[in-house]
Order: sequence, then structure tokens, then C-alpha cells
Amino acid sequence: MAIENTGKKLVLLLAVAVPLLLPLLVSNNYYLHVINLAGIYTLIAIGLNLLSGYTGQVSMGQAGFFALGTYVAGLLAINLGIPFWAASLAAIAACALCGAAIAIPAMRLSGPYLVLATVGFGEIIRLILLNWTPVTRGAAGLTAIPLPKFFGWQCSSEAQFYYLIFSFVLLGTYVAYRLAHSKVGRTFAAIREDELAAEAMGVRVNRYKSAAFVLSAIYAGMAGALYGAFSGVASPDNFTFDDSVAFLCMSVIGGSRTIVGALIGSFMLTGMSEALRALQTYRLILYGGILIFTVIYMPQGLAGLAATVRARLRRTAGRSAAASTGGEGKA
Amino acid sequence: MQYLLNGLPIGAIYALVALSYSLIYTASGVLNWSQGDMVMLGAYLGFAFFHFLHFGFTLALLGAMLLVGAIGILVQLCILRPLRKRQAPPINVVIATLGVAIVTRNLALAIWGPEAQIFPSPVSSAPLAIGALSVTRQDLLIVAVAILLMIVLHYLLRKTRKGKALRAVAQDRYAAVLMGVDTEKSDALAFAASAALGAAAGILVAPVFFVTFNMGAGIGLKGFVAAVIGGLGNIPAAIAGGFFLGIVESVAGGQISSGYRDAITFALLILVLWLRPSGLFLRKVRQRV
Amino acid sequence: MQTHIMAISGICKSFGGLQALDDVCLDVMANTVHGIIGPNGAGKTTLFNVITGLVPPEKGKITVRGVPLPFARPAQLAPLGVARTFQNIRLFKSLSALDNVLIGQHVHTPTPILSIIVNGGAARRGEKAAVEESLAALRFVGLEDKAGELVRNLAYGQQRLVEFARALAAKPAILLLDEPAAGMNPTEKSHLVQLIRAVQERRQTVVLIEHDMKLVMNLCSTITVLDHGKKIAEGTPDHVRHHPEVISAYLGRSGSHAGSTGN
Repeated sequence: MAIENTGKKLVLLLAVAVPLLLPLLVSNNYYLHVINLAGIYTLIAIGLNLLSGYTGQVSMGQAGFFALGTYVAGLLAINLGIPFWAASLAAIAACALCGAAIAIPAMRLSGPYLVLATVGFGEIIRLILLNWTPVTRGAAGLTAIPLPKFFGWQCSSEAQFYYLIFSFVLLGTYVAYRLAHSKVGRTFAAIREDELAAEAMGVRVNRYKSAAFVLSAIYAGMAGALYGAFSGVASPDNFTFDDSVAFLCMSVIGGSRTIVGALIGSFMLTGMSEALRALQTYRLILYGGILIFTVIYMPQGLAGLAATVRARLRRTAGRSAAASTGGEGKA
Repeated sequence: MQYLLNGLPIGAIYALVALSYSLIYTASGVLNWSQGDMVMLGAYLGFAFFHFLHFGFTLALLGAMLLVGAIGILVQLCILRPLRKRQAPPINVVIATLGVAIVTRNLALAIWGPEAQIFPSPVSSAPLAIGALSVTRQDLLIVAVAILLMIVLHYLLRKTRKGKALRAVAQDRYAAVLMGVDTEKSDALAFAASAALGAAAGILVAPVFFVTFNMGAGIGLKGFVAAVIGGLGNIPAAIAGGFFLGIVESVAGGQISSGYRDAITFALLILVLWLRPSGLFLRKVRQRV
Repeated sequence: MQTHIMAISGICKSFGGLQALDDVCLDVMANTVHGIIGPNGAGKTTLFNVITGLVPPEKGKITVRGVPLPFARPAQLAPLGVARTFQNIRLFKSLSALDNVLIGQHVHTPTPILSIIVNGGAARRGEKAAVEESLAALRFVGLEDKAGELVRNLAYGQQRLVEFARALAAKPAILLLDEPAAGMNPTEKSHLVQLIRAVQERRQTVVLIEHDMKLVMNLCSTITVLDHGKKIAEGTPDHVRHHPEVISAYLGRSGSHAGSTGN
């Protein structure tokens, strides 16, 4: 027991120390860029895990909230010169409102209907961004989104963006973890498992579902604001249905029922995407194949796999300990 | 009125795809995201049969349907059956079919390249005049063949043993198992039929659209929307939904704006989901406690 | 002095052409074990579904401690002190036994969002109290050592007990048990009887749907008999056992000889 505790503490220490020191270890700007991108996607994946993994409401429209975040923050910064922190807050607020609005009809839906509604939402956002040219600049999109600036500190290099994004990922992970490992997370899971029974226990299912939607929208919105400032440009092409699919895959392959799964999934998929870039078309064929394989043979994703392995190790350790003390074996 | 007529051929295509979605969904509860790519495969294979093997149109159609149907059986056996065996949650099944879609699409890209292929039409595309309206022979062909296929399907489902078995599974899977129906076979059959129908839609629409590796995505999504608007659990409803969507799109695109046409489609979808989620052409489904 | 805790009057419910409940009236007295029996299809589970808000009736009224129950609002039953178990176990399968029971306490535990996010004292104290309550409920049914186990890994009888504990954790005034003994072996059944008696001693009321006649006659102070949606008899076990309509409803087999027919 004592060993487990120190082990956990060590892992936690590494988990914070390594990322803190990362830019000092990785000097290649390209790698840092990919890591930064993965970090932004992690935020989206965390929100998606809370919504789809925990609460069981599958969304294939997160790109819509992502786009909304980017455009709201970006347009406010470009047109009105609003500083990053305020523009981000506005982006989050816009997404939260949108998420709440979506939740009202979406709550009554389930299965394919819900999926389709979220797809519809994502597409509608994209089409509005594409066609409402006077406001959104249409197909050309946003250019020259200003870099974030905090009390005179200009964020412009990859390493600086790294620390900015890392802070948000840390915050986002912490908040999500706290929620997930509390009554809230438990209630989300209950809704996923059996809505009817949850209601019989007094759970106001609609409220919790809406909350999950809004949460996922907030996470995607913040990611959007970061993305806009990070890449400097954005167009409706960056926020297609394929992107929503990619986010969902990050969630599922990493492990949608955990928070750490979001991190694993987004880094894996982003990294894989970049690494296999040379293979071009074959890369996507491989990607699809991995997807199918994961979903059949590792339904809880990589995080789930790790948990299963750990449980199995613990069981064998328990069994050998019990055998030596003559206790009862596992039923 | 002209818009109405214009909407019929694309409506027929949507109807075929919507039908395919409904068929698989009622038979095995699976949402097949790769349906649109079956359409694409049908178009490409039909083109290959036509161009390289010099098949006639009908032969190319049948050949493509058979081949894509076989691919459908393969997908069912290798992917959907293991998922069902492991009681995978529905989202995982959706993602698996997404994976199939990604693989198929990119295989097509790898094999046939990114340029659009042009599929020559078996009939002239010169417009015929009917009173004040005009249609092309191509349009008539699409609608005629689509309706023919639907009639054939109807016959197969109602009159043949395998068809009846499929309908039994769709109504009550557990009871069908108890009655000795081989659900794995009927699932495979449903999938094969859907794939074949998709392939037919592909060949029919190929001369009108461009045949590219990506064409499945749009058609698949629209077909799914049509199925849901019509009423997901029900084949005639899906067909009605398909025609309805085709006509609405044509009218909206003509009268309102072609840029926002797709947005209108999705707005219609959201409206239906909000007000009448069980579908426009389906009696309200009550939930059993 | 016996007091009413739940009064059901004039409940009517039909599904399509089928009259599932026809003017059903029932009074449940506090601190009793009240049985509801009847042949399959009599409407027993439908009655439970109406009480717990899953199915709205066409006519009728139900009050709990004088407060009228809202229909078709299942989430409002728990705060009014009504908890239930289900005929086909409805546990949260991929959660642990402890988590299942914790959710049973949903309405009695606070949700201090801000405190949860910062892992503040209020959140930790609330969680600790809830966990202790839930462990106590599991201890009561004898499954404390299985608290961390995923319920889908538990044996059938154990799952039924977890559902029982989950309903108990809500500290309900009225416990509705829908065929709690179904599928249990005799040892498990006698354990269940002990638990129900203990619940009664804790001044809670139990309403019980069951097919096991021995169990029902043993436990219940009042029994209501339904057949084809109508109440055909009501009274003490002895009264019901010898009631001619009850006997004929069960096709001529006397109440004391009818074994558990299961589902």
C-alpha cells in the first residue's frame, strides 16, 4: 500500500515536471508546433469525453463549437482590438450559450438522432461561416489574428505558446478530473448507463445532460480561441465534419471514459497524423484500419487498456499473496 | 413546378440511400456511416466495368451491385459481427463504420487517383419537353430504375423466406432467434442488400455528378438525413423522406439561394428532430418502459 | 394507531386497447409490509410504474403522507421519499456497487460545484458522509466487501441486493420492491425476508410485488390482489388465502400451495 502511494506521487511529479521542462528538451520548432496543436485538441477531447464518454451523449459536431470559439475570439481581436483574455472569455460565453441552446432539443434525442443533430449543428455553423461573408469574411476566412499579450508579455514563439497552451491543458484537465471524480461524474455515468433508473433515483437527467453539453462547448470554445491566436489564420475549411470525426476518434481511441484518455488520444492521433504524413493516402487507410481495430479489440481505448492491464496485474499479485497466506481466491 | 421535377431524380437517389440506411438500422440497429462510400464504389466499379470490360449499362449495374454487395458481406463478417459478439456500445459501432468509410474512400483515392472520372450516360442527356416542363432521359432513367429496384426489394422482403426472416429480425430480434432464424445470416444479407442498393445509386448518379473518391461523403450524409426526416425505422418512410428531401432541396436551391441550400437542409433536419423526431412520414413511436 | 402513508384512488391506465389498470384503489399503512400479488399481466408492475411517474395514468390520484404525487415526473419521487427496485434489475452496470448505492443518495447529498472543483472542504466532507452512508447500506445487505466490485461482475442474487441497498440509501419512507426475490435460491430468499423485516423495524414502509406465495404470506400484514387490472381482494394473508376469487384467478390452486412461479 505504501509502495502504491509513493508510486502514484512519483507519477504525478513526473506528469507535471516533464511537461514543464519540455521546451528546454525539445528545441525543434516543428515538434513543438505539433505538440502545441495536440495540446489544443486535448482540450476539445476532454470536453468530448465528459459529454460522450461519461454522459453517453455522442457528439459529432464539436468542430462547430471549435469554429465558434476561433471566430468569436478572432473577430473580436481583429475588429475591436480586444485583448486575448477578454476575447477568450467572450468566445467561451458564446459557446456556452450555443451549447445550452443546442441542448434543449438535443436532450430529447438519443442514438442516431442525436448524432445527426450534432452533425447538423456542425454543418450549419460551417455554412454560416462560409456564407455570411460581410461578417465572417466567407471562404477567405480570418487572417492576421493578433498574438496574445499578457501585461506586456507577447506570446509569439512556439515555446511561449507551449506554456500558454500547457497552462490551459493543465487547468482543463484539473477541472475535468475534479468533476469526473465527484458526484457530478458519477451522475453523468449513471445517465449513460440507464437514464430511467437515474431518474428514479431523483436525478434531473435533462439538467445534467445540458450541463454536459455546455461543458463540452466551453472546452471546445476555449480551444478555438487558442487555435485562432496560435495559427493566426482560420477559415471554414478548418472546421469540417471530418474534423469533428477526428475529435471523436481522439476521444474513443484514447479512452472516452477517462480524462487522461483525452490526452492520450489527442497526442496519439495528432502525432500519428504528422508522423505518417509521408505515406500520404496510405496514412489515412492505416488510420481507418487502426480505428476499426481499436474499436473492436480495445473498446475502452488506450486508457482502458492500461486500466485492464493494471487490474490484471493487481489480481495476479493478489492471488499470489492470497495463495501464500492461504486466503480465498478470486470468485 | 420545374423545380419539383428537377428534384425527382436526386430525390430518387436520396431515397435509395435512405432506404439502405433504414434497412440496416431496422435489421441490426447499426448506423452505417460507410453507406455513402458504397455509392461511390458502385460508381467507380460500374465505370470500370463499363470502360474496361465494355459491359453494357445493365450488366455493369448488376455487376457493380453484386461486387459491392459482396464487399458488404465482408464488412459484416469481419467488423460488425465481432462488434456484436463483444456487445460493443453503439458509438463504437458507428466509429467502426466510420473507419470503413475512411478506408474505402482512401483506397479509392489510391487506386483511381484524385481526378474526377466522367461516366458516360447510357441515354442521351438532351432534354425532353413535357408541356411547359423539361426533363432529360437521364432523369427518367434514374427515377425508373430506382423505383424498379424498390419494387424488387419489396417483393423480396415480402415474398421470399429470407426476406421474411429479415423482417422478423427487424421486429423482434430475440423472438426471431428463438424461432430459429440465423440472425448472422440475415444481418449479412441486410448489409449486402444495402450495399448493393447504394452501388446502384452510384451508377445511376454517376453521369450526373462527378465521380470522385469523395462523392460518398455528401450523398451518404444527405441520404441519412433523408432517412431520419422520413422516419428511421421504416422503409417506405425512408423512401418518402428521400424524395421529399430531393424536392425540398431543389425548390430551396432554386428559390432561395444555392449557397445556403445545404444549410436549409440541415435546418429542416433540426426542425424535424425538434418537433417530430420519429419522422415526418411515420406514426409516432411510443417508448416502452 | 395505524396511519396512512400512501393512498391510491381510482387509477386507470390503458395501453392501446388493453385496460391495464381499472379503477384501482389501495391504502398503504405506515410501517407495514404491503404485498401486491396477482397472476402475470394483472397490472402490478404497471401500478408501480404509475406510482413512480414512469407512466401517466388517465385517471386517479395518489398521495404520499397527504402530499399528492405528480405524475410523469419520475425524478420527483425520490425527494418525496419513495424509492423502488425494478423487476429486471436496473443497475448501472459498469459502475461499482458503491457507486450504484451512492447514486441512490443523489437527492440527499449536496452538489457544491465550486467546492468540488477546488476540492474544498465542503465537497470532501459531503463525499465522505455519502460514502459512509452507502457503505452502511451495503453492510446492511451483507455486501460491504463487494463495494469496489463492478456490479456486472456480481452474481445475480448479489445484484438484487445491491439494488435493494441502492433504494435503501435514499432513506425512503416507502420502499417499492418489484419482485425482489425473483431468481433467488431459498437461502437468498430467507436472507431477503430478514432484510425486509429489519427495514420494517426501522419504521419504513415496504410495498412488495411478488410471485413467491410463501414469502408473501410470511412477510405481509396486508395483501392486495389484482387480476386483469382490477382489485379482486384485499386483506390479511389468511383472508386472501381463502378468498374464492383469488383462488380461481390462480386457476384453482390454493394460495398456500402455489410455489414461486418465477417470471
